[in-house]
Amino acid sequence: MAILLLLGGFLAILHFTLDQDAAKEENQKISVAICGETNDAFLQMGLATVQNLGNTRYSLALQTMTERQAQKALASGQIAAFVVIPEGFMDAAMAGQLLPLKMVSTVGASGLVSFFKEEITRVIGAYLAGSEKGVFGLENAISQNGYPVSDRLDSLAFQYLDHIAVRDRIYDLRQLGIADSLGLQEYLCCGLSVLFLMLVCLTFGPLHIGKDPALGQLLRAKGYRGQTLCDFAAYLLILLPLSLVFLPIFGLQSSASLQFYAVFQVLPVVLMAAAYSFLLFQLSDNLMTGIVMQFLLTVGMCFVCGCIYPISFFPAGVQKMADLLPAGLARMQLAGCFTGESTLAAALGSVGYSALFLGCSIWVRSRKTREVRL
Amino acid sequence: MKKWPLLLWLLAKRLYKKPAFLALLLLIPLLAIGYRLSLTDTGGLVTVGLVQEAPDPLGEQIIQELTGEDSLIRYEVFPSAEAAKQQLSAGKIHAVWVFPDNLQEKIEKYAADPVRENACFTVWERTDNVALSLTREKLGSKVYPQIAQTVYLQYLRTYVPELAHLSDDALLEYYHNTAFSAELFTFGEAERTPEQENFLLSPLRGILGVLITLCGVAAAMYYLQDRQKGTFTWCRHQLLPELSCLLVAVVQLGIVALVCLMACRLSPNLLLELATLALYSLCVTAFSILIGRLFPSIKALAVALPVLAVVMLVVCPVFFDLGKLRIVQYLLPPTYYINAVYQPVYLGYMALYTALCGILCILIDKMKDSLR
Repeated sequence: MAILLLLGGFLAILHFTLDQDAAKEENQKISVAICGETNDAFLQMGLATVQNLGNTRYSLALQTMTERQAQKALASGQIAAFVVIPEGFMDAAMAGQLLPLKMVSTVGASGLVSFFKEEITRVIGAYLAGSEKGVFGLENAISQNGYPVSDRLDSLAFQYLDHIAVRDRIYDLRQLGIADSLGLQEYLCCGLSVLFLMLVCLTFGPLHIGKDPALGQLLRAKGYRGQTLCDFAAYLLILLPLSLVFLPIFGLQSSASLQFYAVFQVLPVVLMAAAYSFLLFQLSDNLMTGIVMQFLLTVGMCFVCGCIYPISFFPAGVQKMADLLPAGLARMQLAGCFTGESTLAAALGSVGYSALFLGCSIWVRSRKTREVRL
Repeated sequence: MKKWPLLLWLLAKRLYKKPAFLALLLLIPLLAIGYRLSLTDTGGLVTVGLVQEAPDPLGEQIIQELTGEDSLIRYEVFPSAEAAKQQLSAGKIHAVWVFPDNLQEKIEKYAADPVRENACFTVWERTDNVALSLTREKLGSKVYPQIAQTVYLQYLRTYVPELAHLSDDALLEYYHNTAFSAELFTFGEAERTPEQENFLLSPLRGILGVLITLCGVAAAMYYLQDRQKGTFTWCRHQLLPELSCLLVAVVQLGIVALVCLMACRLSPNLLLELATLALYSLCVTAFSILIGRLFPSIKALAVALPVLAVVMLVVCPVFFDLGKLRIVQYLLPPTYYINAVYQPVYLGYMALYTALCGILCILIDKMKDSLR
């Protein structure tokens, strides 16, 4: 029942996280609200151009609303940002002056708009300033030389609008495809598998943390050795089937085919995760500390090892460190399940870490059982 | 009730006697500050390889501007398209932009007829996504000033014969003398520190929020263990020791989280932070008691724990915001903690959520009593 609950929970989370088809749908568009003076016909035409033409329509959804509505929508996460067009913006623009626009975005940890805010505004600024310079440069050139402007300003403005609408034609986009490396989805699959696998060990905390050492002391006094190894073997035997069931299911969630020998590549990772959590259980002296400590170290390590964000997001120093940490090795080892590439170094690293963690566990346990209270 | 402060102190003292608990309290700020210090540069959301096929002054100028910018897009210059594409295939970089050798000439051709055949750049990507699409907008905007200028000159030459006697330089003077700046936007949010803007550091608040919640649930397990041992049999109302056990653990971890946030300069306002933390401690305590009611044994809580941890990490806006799971987000305390500091309306939502958890606990208790 417990295993079913775990599997069901993980699968539901995974489905929502890695749902590739949904990524292309409407809900992955960035929603931005436009507030303030939006009634002007020219402005509405400009907004319609941005919304419906060019490749923006695949990534941006514009909505017009009042500032109050936008603030509520931003607070509830319905939009990623809103832009306030100040009163008299269009009149000023017609007179050759651009009034500053106010942009408000989410501040939390997670919005693309929040991260790309400055980039996006620089892009929009470059398009608007370039076009306005052309239109008002033309007006100055004609009028200052004593000729009538007539409808030539509008004609040039429409040319600029055309250029903005088809701005993605400035480059020729070619796609290499995933080839023999990991796509983002497969990458996240490997990373999240490592995170899930290490966190699933929390379930076994109550079995091992704060265990009464009396039995160990008795067995030790009777001359029986290797009780720690036996405990670990029992723990591994419980963890192994659980891992071997849910890790291939991760593979089904991805578009790449999972190699049939992936199961064997998963073994060193499961061994390391078991040894790592087993050591933390031995180090903890009460249930609460043990669980919080394990969560903290696991999430912290998985984060810096690129199991949650792609490793390329991190500075070079952190990337190098990640290659040496257990979660980084585990991620590389699991990547081999998709690429079919040999991951001998990662496998050896995983086994080496397992031996180290297990050795430390034996040492900690032996210290605990040596303290015989009379 | 008069002895409640004494009970709280005794429970806190019990935890201080555990070396692992003290180590944990020290470890959290050490890890957070160590991580903060390791981020010597900000990294990049997208890494783009830039290739200049053959010497070209305009292309080289744009490449220099791009590499000199402080941006979330990281640029790396490659000597050849093949070398860059190899890195792209290996997944080391996300896109390759190839600059042609005669960019100005190509821009003139494109400005006259903006069709795909006249494209100025070649962009290589493995697959498309929203971040890469935003990145490509950057490329277009970088070259747009040259396009706008060329369109302006071509228009004058074609449709304004009256000015045919003026040289290109004379006409461009009118263009450059207009006072338009690309700095069009002001930002409406409160001033933020570079740490708050750093996408690699900002998840720290969420991680700490989840950690505090998990500490609450773990404390609920610890309380169940105590109850099995009969530690609190002397107490008439079992809610008091339960509440105290959870509150003591949650508040201590909350204080450590506050130290981390202050040390990493992720807290915009100390008073608001304190208010949020006080309310969040109550919220997590109420939530943990409710979880304890729904999973009334250590084994059941132990199974629920990793699922809860993963759900909170994935569904709450800690690392990414899954908009489609908004309703589930509101069921979990970290959502309120992450948002409350920047949007104080969430403090109200958090108070409401805490009250709801409390009411549900009372209802469950009453149902259990009536079933007995």
